Amino acid sequence: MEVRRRKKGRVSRRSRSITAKVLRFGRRPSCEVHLDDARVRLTQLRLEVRGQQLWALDDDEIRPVQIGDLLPAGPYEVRVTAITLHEVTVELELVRPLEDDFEALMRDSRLTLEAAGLSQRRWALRGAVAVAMLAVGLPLLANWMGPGASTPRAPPTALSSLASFWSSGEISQAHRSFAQDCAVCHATAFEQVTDQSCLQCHADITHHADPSRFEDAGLQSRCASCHMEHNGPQMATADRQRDCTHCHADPDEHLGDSELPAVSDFGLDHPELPTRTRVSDALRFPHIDHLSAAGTKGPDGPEDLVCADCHDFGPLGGTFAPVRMETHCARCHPIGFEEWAPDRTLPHGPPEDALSAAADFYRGAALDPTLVIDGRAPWQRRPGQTRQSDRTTDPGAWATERIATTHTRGFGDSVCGDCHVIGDDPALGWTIVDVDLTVPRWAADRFDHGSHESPPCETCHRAETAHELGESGLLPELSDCRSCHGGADDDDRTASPCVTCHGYHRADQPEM
Amino acid sequence: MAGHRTILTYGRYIWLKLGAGLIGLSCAAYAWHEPIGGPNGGSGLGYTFGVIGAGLIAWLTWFGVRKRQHGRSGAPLQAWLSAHVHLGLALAVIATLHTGFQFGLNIHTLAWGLMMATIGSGMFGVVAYLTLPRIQTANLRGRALTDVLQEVASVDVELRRASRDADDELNRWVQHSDGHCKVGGGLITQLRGPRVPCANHEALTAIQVLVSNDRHLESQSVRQLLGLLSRKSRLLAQARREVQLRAWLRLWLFAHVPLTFALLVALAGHVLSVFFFW
Repeated sequence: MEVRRRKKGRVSRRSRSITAKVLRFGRRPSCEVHLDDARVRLTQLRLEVRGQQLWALDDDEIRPVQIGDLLPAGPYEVRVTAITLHEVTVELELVRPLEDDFEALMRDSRLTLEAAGLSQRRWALRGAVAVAMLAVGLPLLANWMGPGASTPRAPPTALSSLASFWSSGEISQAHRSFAQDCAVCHATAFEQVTDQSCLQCHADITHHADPSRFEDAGLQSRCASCHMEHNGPQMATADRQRDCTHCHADPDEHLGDSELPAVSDFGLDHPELPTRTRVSDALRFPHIDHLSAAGTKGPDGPEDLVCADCHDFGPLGGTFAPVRMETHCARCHPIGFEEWAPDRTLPHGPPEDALSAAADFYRGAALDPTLVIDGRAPWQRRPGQTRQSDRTTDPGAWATERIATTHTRGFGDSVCGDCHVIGDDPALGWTIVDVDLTVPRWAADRFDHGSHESPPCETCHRAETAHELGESGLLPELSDCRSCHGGADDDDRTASPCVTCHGYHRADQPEM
Repeated sequence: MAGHRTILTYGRYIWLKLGAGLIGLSCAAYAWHEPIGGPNGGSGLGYTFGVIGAGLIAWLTWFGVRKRQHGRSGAPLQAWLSAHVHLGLALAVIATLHTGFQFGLNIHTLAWGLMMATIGSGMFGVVAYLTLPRIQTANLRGRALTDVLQEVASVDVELRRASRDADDELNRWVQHSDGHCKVGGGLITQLRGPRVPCANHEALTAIQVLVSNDRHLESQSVRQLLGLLSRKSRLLAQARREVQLRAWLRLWLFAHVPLTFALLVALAGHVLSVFFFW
């Protein structure tokens, strides 16, 4: 019986009676049940009675069949509905009808990227949400919650690391100790960094010039307009030459009554460097005598002095420690004042102290009964001398007389005049012209000897031929600097804009 | 004879010239400008580049909307696409100059990286659009993919007919071809094109081996089977090549569009962070 299921659940049955010992189902035309379907083998299934038992045989197996058994035959199913001694009744149904080939191919094929599981919309949403959460939301939250580090040098925390994802770049070395604490500078969100933040630490920073005198020079700009952070390890400093030469190239036009010389470029247009120091007028020091190739007379014989014997780098380097009489000169130049007392020296200092020390010496000498000068006590009368002679015989008067001589200009000249310029003083009789030992304020206040150690001193300081401190050549000249440094745009020498040598913030100007 | 017109040359190179001009002008300004602390996004010129770059990103993104507005008056879509390509390339330069070549592990470099990745994927798309359609036309010879697949289906019908009386072994291989052939598939399968395992090819090879081992199998019907399987192989290769070309033609969009949206968010974060820490 052939069973066909139609639409709406209707079932139609067509009965056929076949007389055969063996019932073969297959594609072969000679099969008792011919199945015209390419999916069926030539002989798909055999039903055969052996003994009292109905058996089903196919290529793979042989098995007994009972009533109700369902036997697969390719896309067909064979249901055994009745078995008698001479008759077997089966129902044959096509359970897997042949599909439309095109539809089947289209169903099994995935022809587009969307069909392969890709989705622009889904990925766009996921990507946008991921960026919004990880790159925007979390850092915003971390920044809103405040500083990540409780102390300036505290190690980074997870919160501060998140917050730093919004950092616009590497912070300068100078400010790195509080780099994790954004609020030190960025006090208020969505507001520019104020000078107040900078002045918390840089309280004593001074102006370049008096802003009230030069209102149009931009001296009132924000600190951050010149010192831009997050630009790498070096502190960003305004080093553009044009920012300086805008005013300094034409001082008459821009700097009012200033006496500053015009300068537009170090390599091309720069005034000569100063050749005299403040001490040069009041102090005599012939470098030529101290750096002689033949040697310099020392207490124990000739000595070969070099610059560093007197000019030492200070403990921090970069600048020289002041030359001191006691340290550098006194070994060869003790301040003796009496030939008959060569071991007695005066202290180096104000004339009052020296005179006081000399007076003490003479008073003490007058009390010394054993004092002998030229073979006798200085106040002892020689035979033939009268009491009226000019020579005193009183030790006290002798001391007073000697002390009086110390108040003469001649004493000052003989004792101090080798090095110092002696002037007049009505009270003391003489005095020393002041020597200003403060570090001379050079316009090139950023010049650093520490970074100029390589060339020998005489490259810039021609001391071996200098008789006076104020002599030309003892201090470097513009040409000495220019042998290595050029202007801001020089390609052959070290390009040196103004701020290479000149600091912007001047110590003698008002605080910001 | 007029040259072949493409999106790159549209409007007598007007957008190419504009894009190149924008790049030249930006580079000249960058070379001229000497901001304090070196070039960076926070200088006057840096902000200018930033504003131009953000504006370009917004305008370039708008193309996604414009291309869906069919029948809209105004500049034709070709002009929009040409401008999209050339100004997108200019954006790569302008935004890079905006960075001042300062890169780091931060939201700013993330935005720049997403933008460059978006532009890079777009460049891939331009190359794909300029090269692949020609290969597609040559591959299908003017037919549609469904035409080819219909033909595959009709070959299957013929195969079943031809194998009706065939030996079970031969028929099994025909059924293998009939039941297991498909075109396309997952991403990798689509991108590999014809170079994928194919049931039809296996069937064809197997039947050829069977025939060569057992000469008495060779008959008119078997030769017909082999002919049909060969034809189906060619058709499947064409269809798979078409799917492969379509996949390569559109694959970049699955990066370009999501990257664009990620970029828009990162750009918003970049601007927000800049002014948060002004």
